Amino acid sequence: MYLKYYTTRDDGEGGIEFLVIDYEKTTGLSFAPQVDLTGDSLPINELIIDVITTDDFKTGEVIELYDDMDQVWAHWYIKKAIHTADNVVRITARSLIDSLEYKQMEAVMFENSSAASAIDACFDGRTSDYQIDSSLSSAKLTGFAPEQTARERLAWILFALGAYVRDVFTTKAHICPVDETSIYIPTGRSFFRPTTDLNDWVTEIRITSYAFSRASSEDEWEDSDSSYMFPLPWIAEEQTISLLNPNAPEDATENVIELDGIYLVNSGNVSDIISRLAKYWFNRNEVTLDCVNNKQFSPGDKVVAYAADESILTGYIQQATFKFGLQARSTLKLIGVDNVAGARLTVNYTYNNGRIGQAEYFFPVGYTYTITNPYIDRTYQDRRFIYRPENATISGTIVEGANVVEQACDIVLEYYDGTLSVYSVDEIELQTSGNEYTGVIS
Amino acid sequence: MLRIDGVEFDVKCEIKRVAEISASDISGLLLDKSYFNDVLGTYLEYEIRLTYPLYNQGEYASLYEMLTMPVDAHAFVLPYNTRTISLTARVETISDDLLVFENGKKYWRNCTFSIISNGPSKEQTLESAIQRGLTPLPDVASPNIGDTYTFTSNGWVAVNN
Repeated sequence: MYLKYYTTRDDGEGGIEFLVIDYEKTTGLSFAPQVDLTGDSLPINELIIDVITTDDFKTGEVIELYDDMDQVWAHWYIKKAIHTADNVVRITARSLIDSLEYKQMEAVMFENSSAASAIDACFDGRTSDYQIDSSLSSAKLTGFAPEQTARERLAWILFALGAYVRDVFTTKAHICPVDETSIYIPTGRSFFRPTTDLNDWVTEIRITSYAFSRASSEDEWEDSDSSYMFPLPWIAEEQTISLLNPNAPEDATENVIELDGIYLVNSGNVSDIISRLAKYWFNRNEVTLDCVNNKQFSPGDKVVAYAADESILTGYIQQATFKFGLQARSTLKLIGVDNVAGARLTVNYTYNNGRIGQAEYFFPVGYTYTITNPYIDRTYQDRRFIYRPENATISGTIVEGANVVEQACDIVLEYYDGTLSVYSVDEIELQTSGNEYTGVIS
Repeated sequence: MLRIDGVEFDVKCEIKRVAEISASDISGLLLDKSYFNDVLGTYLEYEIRLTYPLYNQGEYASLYEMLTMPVDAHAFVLPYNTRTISLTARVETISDDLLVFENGKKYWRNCTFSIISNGPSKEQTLESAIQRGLTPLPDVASPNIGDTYTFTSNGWVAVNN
């Protein structure tokens, strides 16, 4: 890992001067990005790190976290840089959302207005810092937003749209809807062992929807309750929509979540909002699991993973707390966790009708798998053989019950008595660099 | 022969070599019961016992003083397989014995010290760690059927290809 610090100074060649800080020159990195998919809040993500340096860091300037493959993990803004010792600076950097906290937005009535324009207004149109997912480009907003900070305004807009801000692994904050495609975390990437916490049942969600109309006269507006809340000539009619939790037992203590006063909720989006909230709040399990995470899993992603008893579950990543070695490990907090039925897949690898290897998987029923067949390295007495599967990959869909697949292999290499013999050159590359052979030249 | 910080010492040594394949603390047991080992690199440790003749206490003392200097590390040139290796290494421990004869003569002897390389002698890249692979094979871009290779002191060499 390393940090890249962008100054506002010109480097003399038309670019911005930057400073690279090796990970060895840092200690105590705290990096735990999160999202709030319920839209209840709009989290500001934070990175804290101690840097051994005599350099100064200015607030407001960009600092980036990179891995050793030069991929960006965070592109955030320095909030504080405090000398904790003569040659140690503790840097606190925050995501773009922090800058919205200090901007005040005027009240506005949206009448089937462009959501993208409303988002642009929150960010002052600084499109170099954020991007709006193309699926939201034609989204509309209807309803009233009072005078509020840009952060509150954006939170309201995202709540109405069912979107969130993805601000890790990117140089631009990405405003996007939740992708319902599950990313699979195999048992070979998930650490022993996940834990499950049970929250209290949410027995019901109640949400208030607003329908705005123009008063026919100023008197009508003044006589209505709306005059305390909304500008002339707007009058609002309220309707409360309720959804009971079908999972909650009858004797569960009543626990109602009530959401009102969010005036961008209307008859056009209230059912989407309530069913979205039900996904997160009606499943009361929260799962915490550790996995190898080299940027594959990000807060906001939906994942399929394994519980402690190796049953399969699905859930949404609310927070990922990272720890770095050469690779990265993260503790994922999953919400909206539900169980998924699973079934076994057995892949038998054969040579001359004899079995030379077997791989077993336990996948969700209905899961469409694609598995890269491994080269199989076997030593028989003092001979070492490397077998190449005839098919590079296998794919299929998991059905209930047993799923068994046979894959034939050929001998590619034989190593015996100090001599390595090549039997086949299709799709094989031999190399010593990096302690591996990767296959694949033809 | 021993070379430390550019100074050569003509002394017989007994050397024990240990290679530590060091992994980070994110390593751990996975749900499929395999072990995820986040290997950072290979660090060499040498334990060296000097066998100076008793009469050469002058050179013995100067080597002892050099090794016990409170510095971060020294530059060593040490035997490594069929060649030598240059290592920047820190001295971890150093010990020796005092031999006292009846006539009152005193001789320091059996100086034994251990060093650990500061940096890895072999490193893994993040890219190769992500694509976990097998043990090394010959570096041949375009092998042909029937080619054979043999491992020699010069690495893998093609035979009759």
